[in-house]
Amino acid sequence: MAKLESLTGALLWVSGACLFAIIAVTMCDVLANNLLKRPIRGTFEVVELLLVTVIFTGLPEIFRQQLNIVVDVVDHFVSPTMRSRLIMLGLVVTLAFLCVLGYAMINPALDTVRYPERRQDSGVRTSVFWIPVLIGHALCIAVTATDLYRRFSPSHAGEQL
Amino acid sequence: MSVQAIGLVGIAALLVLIFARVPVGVAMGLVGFLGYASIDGWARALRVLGQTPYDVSTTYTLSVVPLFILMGDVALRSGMSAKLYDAARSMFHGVPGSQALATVGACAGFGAICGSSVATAAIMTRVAVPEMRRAGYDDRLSTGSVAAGGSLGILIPPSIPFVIYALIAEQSVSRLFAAGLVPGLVLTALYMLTVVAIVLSYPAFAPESGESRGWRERLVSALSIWDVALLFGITIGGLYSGWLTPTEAAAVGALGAVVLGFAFGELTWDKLVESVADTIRTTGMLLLIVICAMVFSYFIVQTQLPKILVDWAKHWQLSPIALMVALVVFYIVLGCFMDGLGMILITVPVFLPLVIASGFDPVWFGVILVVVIELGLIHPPVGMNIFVIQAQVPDVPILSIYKGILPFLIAPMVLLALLIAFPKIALWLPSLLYK
Repeated sequence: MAKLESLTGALLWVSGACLFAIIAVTMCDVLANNLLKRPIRGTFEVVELLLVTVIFTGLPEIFRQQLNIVVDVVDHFVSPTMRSRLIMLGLVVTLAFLCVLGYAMINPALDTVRYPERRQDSGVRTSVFWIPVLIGHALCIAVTATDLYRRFSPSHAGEQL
Repeated sequence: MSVQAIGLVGIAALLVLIFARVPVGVAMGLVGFLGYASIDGWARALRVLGQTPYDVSTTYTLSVVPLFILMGDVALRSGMSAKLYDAARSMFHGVPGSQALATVGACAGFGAICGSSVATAAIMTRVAVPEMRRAGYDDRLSTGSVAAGGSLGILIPPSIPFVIYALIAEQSVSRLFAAGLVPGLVLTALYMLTVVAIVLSYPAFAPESGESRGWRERLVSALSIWDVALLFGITIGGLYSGWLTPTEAAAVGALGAVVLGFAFGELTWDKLVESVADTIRTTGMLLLIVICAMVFSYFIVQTQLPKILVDWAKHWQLSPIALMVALVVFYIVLGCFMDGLGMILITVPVFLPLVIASGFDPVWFGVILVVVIELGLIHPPVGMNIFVIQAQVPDVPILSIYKGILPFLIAPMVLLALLIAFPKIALWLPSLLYK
């Protein structure tokens, strides 16, 4: 868990760096467009690549800290035991969904390797866009599975959820 | 089973999962995938599920989300909210209920640089409530004005719900930002009228020193918030004038907030790091739901439920106004149990075709939706702003906050009635700017 924690933390820094890179690239384009009347070719596609990295390298931290938006109205009507069971159910469903999603993403990602294409303006390979998606998603699965295992393991039985 | 029946079972399953504490995004993605598979087969469903995260997260327009969130977060940590409150307090000094009026005004001002209502309510509680309590204001008025004012953050541009709605409804972010401004200002005025009405009815709620400040002093106070005005002017002004695209405006705003925060505010390196981390977390949370909502909306399209709703409205010869009133009531009830983003993502794919078929402008409907979400943020029992305020001032009983917010609920209701009666309130500015 500690290794996963440091890995998600490191990815958070990558995500932050990409966020500032979006600002830098966009500002350069604004200045070039307004001062030199020559927009920088490929800016949109670079921003898209950076955006996908910001999102997917940030996601594992969200799953690790369980920051996903949850409607918790039911908490007012059920016992603490039932609430704990519902939290477990949420984790199981989340893990199942992440696994199906991960499986579903393999083929479209492989297609970009089998049939290589480059983006029109920037020349960046489409497969490059899938790298942060797959890395981030794999870590989301690992983090959720670890969390679930930790909660199911006998040493943590009865732990306040 | 017919596709419509599958659609209804899917919606029921979604609600069950959401209320069983399954994360909203996961529930939408799972139901969307299973529903799609039951109509069109597993192979196609897997293809749609696998491709959607890539398609959504490489949408250029969505890059405004982290940038505007960063701008608001940095402004928050730079102390701009406190300056806004001080300036507004100076402007209203001497007027009955001046501090509550200043709170609403400062919230509106902060909403112009921050697209989050919850963040606006949280920071303004810290800034304004202690001051109002020191001045002897009743807790009901002080917390009520913060909760109501805080909700302005998502109506006055920049607004994250508008960006999400733009993506789901395939509308222009710029037009939506333009459409939100006038209703945002009208709602600010209505909240201020509410404060005045409360203070006139119960003078003991807001004891005042009575002395008024000179115009020179007021002018100096107004000038002290030049950085907020500059930030709003460059970003939203640049957007309205057509000089900047939404992403460019958001990038200029985020960079501007960082530069101004370091140069003239209280921003430090540590605060910036916290701000970036919070921005990434919020962005991830939002966009994960958006990705899953897209999968869900593909499923809804397959079920033909939107078309059936349109046919149903035609069959019953429902007038457009009656339909809109019914939708607003539905959303207000839904807002008792669900957060605003979930409401947009789940219901827009279902209702938007009906709204358009009834002759309503989708940009105008976006504004209606955001006003209803605002209402959901402040109306009991689950108004998020109420809980945010209670967490900041735990010694104020939640019942007092509920009582305090009640008179303020009238203002968004009046705005909804005005928007339905006079759609131009929302559509005038976009039609002027984007002919």
